[in-house]
Amino acid sequence: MEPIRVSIATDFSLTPGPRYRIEGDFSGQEFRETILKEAMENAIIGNRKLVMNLDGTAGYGTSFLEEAFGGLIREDNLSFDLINKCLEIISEEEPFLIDDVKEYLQSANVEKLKTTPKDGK
Amino acid sequence: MANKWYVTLFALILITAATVYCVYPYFSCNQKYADVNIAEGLIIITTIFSAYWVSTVLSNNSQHVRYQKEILIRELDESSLFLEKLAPEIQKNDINFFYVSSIPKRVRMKIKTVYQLLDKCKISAEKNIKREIYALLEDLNKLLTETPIVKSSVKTNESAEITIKENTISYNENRKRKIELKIDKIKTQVVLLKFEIIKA
Repeated sequence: MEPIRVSIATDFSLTPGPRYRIEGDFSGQEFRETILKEAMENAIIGNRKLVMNLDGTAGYGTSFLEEAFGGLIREDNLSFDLINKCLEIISEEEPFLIDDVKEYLQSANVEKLKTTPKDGK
Repeated sequence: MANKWYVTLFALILITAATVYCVYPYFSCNQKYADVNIAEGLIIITTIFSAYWVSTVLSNNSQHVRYQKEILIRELDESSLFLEKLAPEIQKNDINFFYVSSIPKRVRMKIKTVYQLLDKCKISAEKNIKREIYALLEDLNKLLTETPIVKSSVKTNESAEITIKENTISYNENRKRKIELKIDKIKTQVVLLKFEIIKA
């Protein structure tokens, strides 16, 4: 099945911004709310891959990627396992970003599990 | 590498000439005007070849390597310049977010280009420096742009090390010092890389 392709540089902004909308333009929050969440949900529902291309931008602030990807679990309550299954990241210019995004997802999931009340308690 | 090849060829020619001279010291060709000893002939050819080789090939080669090194050093100078321009900006408040967040990537791309060129030119340089610079740049990026997660995005923390509002960043003194330190460390590594290239 054809994957869903998203490029931050062409579909969102060449200059990704800070974490929250309140902090400035092209924030991670804005990207998640306007593009990423919908694309991820479509990928999960349609059992398709979401190919996320991080290349071509002027550079990422650390919080942009954390808020965009970690926020999928923290704010939008999407499943870590399903995101992991669908998400494929391309980053040839800065390959370490692939591991960073995985780490943000992992940390958000760990935090979520800590705050979620266990069954029967 | 190319130098070694020429030296080997030159040595082989010399050895051949010496051997021929030892084995056939009195061998000569019948010529109309003069007797030409083959060994002497070979020595003359070797001398001519070595004169040509020293004057053109070797000097061209060393000049070529010098130009390559100059280009690499220039690239590294440019990467240092990004950091030198950033350092005084950090001291001011209200710096443009997009300028700040682009610096680590710009420096990283320069370093990446330098190492790609080093591979192409077959100049060996310490790979640990590259790893060190990349790690420091990642730390710098965090110091420059990382803000904490807050449950309500309206919340602002006056004591925060970093505040971003309307695309402008302000750092407190503590954060400024951490950033300066990181910039200095990266510049030191860039100098070490320059030194490696020059001595290679």
